[in-house]
Amino acid sequence: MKVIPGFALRPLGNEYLLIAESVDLVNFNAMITLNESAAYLWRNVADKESFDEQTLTKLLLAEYEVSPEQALEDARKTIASWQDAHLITEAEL
Amino acid sequence: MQLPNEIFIPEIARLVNEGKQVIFTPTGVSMRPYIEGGVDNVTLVQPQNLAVGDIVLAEIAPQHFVLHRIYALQGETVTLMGDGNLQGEEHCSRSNVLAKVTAIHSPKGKSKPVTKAWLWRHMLHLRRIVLKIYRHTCI
Repeated sequence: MKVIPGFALRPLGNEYLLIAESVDLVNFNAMITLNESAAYLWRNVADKESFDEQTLTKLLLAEYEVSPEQALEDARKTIASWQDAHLITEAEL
Repeated sequence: MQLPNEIFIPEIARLVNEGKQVIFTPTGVSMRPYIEGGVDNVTLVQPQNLAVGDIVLAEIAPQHFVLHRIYALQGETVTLMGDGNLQGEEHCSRSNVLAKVTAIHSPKGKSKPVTKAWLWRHMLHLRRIVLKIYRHTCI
């Protein structure tokens, strides 16, 4: 997977907002908010050429006190939610 | 996404200031019948060429934001009032006007006209009756 370019992560209260900075029309009703851990993952993969669920699992294990199984489950859920929100795409081979 | 105004309005202002158009859904009933809070979307742009009758997003006191219509412009002072209000004006300076509404959209994608509401601004004494009818027939 790889992040679709053009999004900026902005702190907003206790959460983070992903804003499509590259477009001229920003729909605030369709904004994507990330919690602290999702924002941490986003920051760490935003510049990577590619990442997968193992990448996110390792990042979670390095930062949070979670079991490998829980980290893998969270990584899978995160990737699924990012795919649903069209934030990531398949990395080019 | 439910966030307090004092958090997300400055973010809207920042984006508008960068030259972007921003769509969001205002809340409240103070702009009836022109804007139905929590239902209609508005498009905001940089507040250039302000005129009486424009609907603007303004900070009328620290972290107190309103989306109301301009009723008077005198030098640097802007007088605002909500279309759904029967009385009570707000005052701020031009620099406190953060954005201007250029479009109003209902949920089904239909655009509402963005007028200067000249007649509405001058029929304060009839507002109570019209708004009562509006509440009973249109909501």
